[in-house]
Amino acid sequence: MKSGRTIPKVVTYVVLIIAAFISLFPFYFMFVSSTNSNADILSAAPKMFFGSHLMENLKNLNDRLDLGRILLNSCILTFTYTLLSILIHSMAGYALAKFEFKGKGLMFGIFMITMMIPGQVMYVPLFTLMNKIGWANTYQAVILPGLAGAFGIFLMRQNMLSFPLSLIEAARIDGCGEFSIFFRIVMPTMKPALGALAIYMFMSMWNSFMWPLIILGTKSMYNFPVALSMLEGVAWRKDYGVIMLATVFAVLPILIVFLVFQKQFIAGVMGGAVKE
Amino acid sequence: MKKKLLSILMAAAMTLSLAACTGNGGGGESSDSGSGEGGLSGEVTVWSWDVALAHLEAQAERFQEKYPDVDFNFEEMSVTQVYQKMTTCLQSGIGLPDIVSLEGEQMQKFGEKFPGQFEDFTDMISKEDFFPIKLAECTSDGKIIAYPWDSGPCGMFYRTDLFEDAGIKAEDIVTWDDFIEAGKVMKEKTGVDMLCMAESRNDQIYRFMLMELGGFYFDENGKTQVNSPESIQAMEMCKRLYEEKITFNNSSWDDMMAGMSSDKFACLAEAVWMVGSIKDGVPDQEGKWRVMPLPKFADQEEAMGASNGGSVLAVPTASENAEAAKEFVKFCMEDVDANVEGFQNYGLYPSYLPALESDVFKEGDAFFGNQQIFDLFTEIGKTVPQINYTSNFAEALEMSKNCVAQIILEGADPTEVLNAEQKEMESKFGQ
Repeated sequence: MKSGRTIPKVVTYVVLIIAAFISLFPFYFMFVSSTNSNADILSAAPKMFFGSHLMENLKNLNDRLDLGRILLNSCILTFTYTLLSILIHSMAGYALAKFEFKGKGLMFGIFMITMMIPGQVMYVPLFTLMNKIGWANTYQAVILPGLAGAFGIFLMRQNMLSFPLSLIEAARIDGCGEFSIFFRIVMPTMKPALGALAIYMFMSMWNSFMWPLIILGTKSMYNFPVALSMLEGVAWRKDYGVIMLATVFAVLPILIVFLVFQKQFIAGVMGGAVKE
Repeated sequence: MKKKLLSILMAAAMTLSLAACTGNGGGGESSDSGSGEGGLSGEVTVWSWDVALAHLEAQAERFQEKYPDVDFNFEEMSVTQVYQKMTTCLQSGIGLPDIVSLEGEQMQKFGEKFPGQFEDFTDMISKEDFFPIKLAECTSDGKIIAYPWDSGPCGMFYRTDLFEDAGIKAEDIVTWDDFIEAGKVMKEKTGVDMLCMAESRNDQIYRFMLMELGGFYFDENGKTQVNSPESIQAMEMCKRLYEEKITFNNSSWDDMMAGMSSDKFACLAEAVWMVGSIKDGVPDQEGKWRVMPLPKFADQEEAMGASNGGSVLAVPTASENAEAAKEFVKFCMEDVDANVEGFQNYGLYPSYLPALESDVFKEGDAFFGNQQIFDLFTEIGKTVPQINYTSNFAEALEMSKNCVAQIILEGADPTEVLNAEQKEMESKFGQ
């Protein structure tokens, strides 16, 4: 009985190990390559171990980009966006889940329909709008358009549906104001969903490329993805060591955030799926 | 309470709309426009990439000695970034730079899609001083809407050491038939493939052959002509090259560079800018490389040249300082010293003929065994036919790559494939 199960288990593990290797290898190669010279990376047998070109790559990267400034831009954009969008999404989700008002169903339906509008069609009108307001090349122009989205509202609404109404009513009877109920009673129980939403919002802003590229005009305002794409240069003059190092800088924060929050991420995404 | 909230909202809305009225549209680049009496003034924003930008920055300092009132603002972007941004900006008409560099092959697309949005240089430019092909790239609807910059006349780079090992002489290779015969000898004696030719990544060899035969995807009126006799002849030659098993496949630029450093192929058909990449990519192969013109077709008396790549400079009409911008573009493009500096410092091979006459381009290059390669490229450049890229080049290129893949990898018949492509392009482009 026991020996009969070992073989399938071995097969399972071999498959898993291969899958893990395939998904981890690019990361490994990225880290290794950031310490190697362009010639090492492009040679017929690329170097697979850490080399000694880290400082040189860092110097070249710094010559081309103001790393500190770009990191600052990316952080300002991402943190402001994540915080504000969590607040807006959870408030909207709460209202749609727990309040009764006229046109609620219609409103929710319209929100959901906006999911079907591709972001690209809005670039030109948004660009014109932002320029008319005088917000071209500013942080708020990057942050505001995507602040409230159907996905986040939907996710929060689904998670809040299962919150017991009786608790809210009890708080009301005890004289608790609506905002206090929201912040002190509802929100603390929403941590898994908030974690998932935070990761999602964090990643989408940290990685956002197209809109920042269009609306940000000067190098000193660029976020990481836009700055990275600038490094691409022309095909025959790419320095992969430098590009890899820049990619490491761009990936690290997101890697850390994900590792810290991954439990919430998985729990939160599953949260709306099952109703007890 | 409700009333108070409403009034606050109203006030907010009013301030916003007020701000919208006063806000200037130009993405933070407001300045007084045009030329004063004594000279030019204003702020000129430039979008360009990499070395091209570096070169323009250096020239701007020289320009300012003459016109101290012109300020410059340089924004570095990659090639794809420029296109992505340009499209949005041209559609909305705001946020555009005063000068932008574009790939020559894409200029007509912008010219046709956004007519009247680029300044006309027709009366300003000295037409006879540039490679004819570059002027063709810059011409849209009969007007010259950009200045030609660097050019990409193509030659055949070859490894003289491998040629010696195989006992082949470059002088003996005149036609593609000679080339194939030599290739067989090369493969037999050294085991090295004669030519680097992608099976599906690009259609470069086919496209070069097509230009040699004086043809292109489109005729001078923009009509599709991919099933012309020239096109079929070129495609058949590509098929032969592949079937003789003397070609090295590459699936990416880096693949090609890796093949080069490990001696996988002896010849590479590419534009003059490849010189810099070979030097950077395989520094230990110094002295082993030479250049010859691309082989001709046997029945052809006078071969034409092929061209690949190279950029142009354009000035959007939305520019508030178009006069200064245009003057700067002319200053950089029609100046022998500026062009020579661009070549010496950044490897930008010009299309301005008077500059190409200067001594730097007549010198031998040590990496190429002191061969006068740049002079050779100038002669080739003059023979490149005036191709009509039209606004459909990018799409046609993708379709053409597919045809090459079908013919090479699936062994399809060139005439059939090209006839089918002709139909597809006609229905897609409407001509």
